[in-house]
Amino acid sequence: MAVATLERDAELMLRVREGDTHSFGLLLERHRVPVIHFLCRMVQNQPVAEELAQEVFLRVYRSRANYEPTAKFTTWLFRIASHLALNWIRDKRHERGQESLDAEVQEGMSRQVQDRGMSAEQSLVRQSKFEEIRRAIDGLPEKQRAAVLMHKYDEMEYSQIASVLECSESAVKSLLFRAYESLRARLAHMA
Amino acid sequence: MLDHKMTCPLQTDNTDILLDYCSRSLDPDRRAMFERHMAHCAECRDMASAQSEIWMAMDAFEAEPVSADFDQKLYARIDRLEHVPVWDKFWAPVRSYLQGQPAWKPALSVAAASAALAVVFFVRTDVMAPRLMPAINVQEVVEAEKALEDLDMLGQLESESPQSEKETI
Repeated sequence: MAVATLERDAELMLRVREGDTHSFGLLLERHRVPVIHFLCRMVQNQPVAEELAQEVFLRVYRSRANYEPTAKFTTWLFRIASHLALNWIRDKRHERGQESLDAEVQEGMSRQVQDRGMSAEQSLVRQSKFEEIRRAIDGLPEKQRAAVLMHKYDEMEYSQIASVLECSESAVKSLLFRAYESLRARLAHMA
Repeated sequence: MLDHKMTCPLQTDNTDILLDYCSRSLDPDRRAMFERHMAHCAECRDMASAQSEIWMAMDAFEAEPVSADFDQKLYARIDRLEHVPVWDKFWAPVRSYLQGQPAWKPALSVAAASAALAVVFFVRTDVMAPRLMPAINVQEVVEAEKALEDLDMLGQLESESPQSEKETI
């Protein structure tokens, strides 16, 4: 595979493999925010999301020596992130049960909506809207949630979501349709 | 072709057209065709309207800004990973596991097995003092396993990737 045809991320990762730490910094710069935001919306707890994101980038760095650009870099990155998030959610559910997880989630996301020069009323409306969406997304089964987040906030194509979630493209379309159907039902009063 | 005379996408499981329409990622031709279809299909029209509302409402679910010291913490972890003494490296995954930290759990079994091996080697080296066995870098074993796991994911992606995706790489 010619270097000229490589995607930019794969090119940077190959440089990291050769020992160029500056390129790792560039990769981090490009993907830090999308990965953390995805994880934050998945686990709905900012400190946990950042901890998991650290693990994602640490794993990428640790794998540098044997890296080969065999797939799109972001697909690989989000696959690692999804695995970590899904494992965290499952572990937490086993440990504490859904009710207390929800309490922790609320605590972890409580600083979410910030006042940006809004009136108190506007801020309350915004906070309430945020909370309803957060709960509706939190109520989705994990895989549907991951698919919706990648589709809505990361603008990923069906084929890429399918690669990340290790399922077929038609399964992703079905996951998404069911997820949005649930969201439409839960948030109908907001429309 | 998709117009009002054609089968409704909702009845043929082509719901991605509706999702793409609402997320504004439908190409202009298909968009125009779907709009012509919707003019005569109340079900699609209602669904598209409700989906568009949800799509816009979801913008309110903003993520919090990333901590200013995220990179600093990451580089510190990388630095620790590369420079800590062998025994610290050995205990770190075990400690993390016991504290319930994510993603280190598989390391426990490897660490335990390696510890058992290390004990065996220590015992044996006492007996065979003149020809010492080479030391085993336990962390290397743990790291190699995790790196292999991650690369395995990358390998899986390659085998799953459609041809079109490979060409874009």
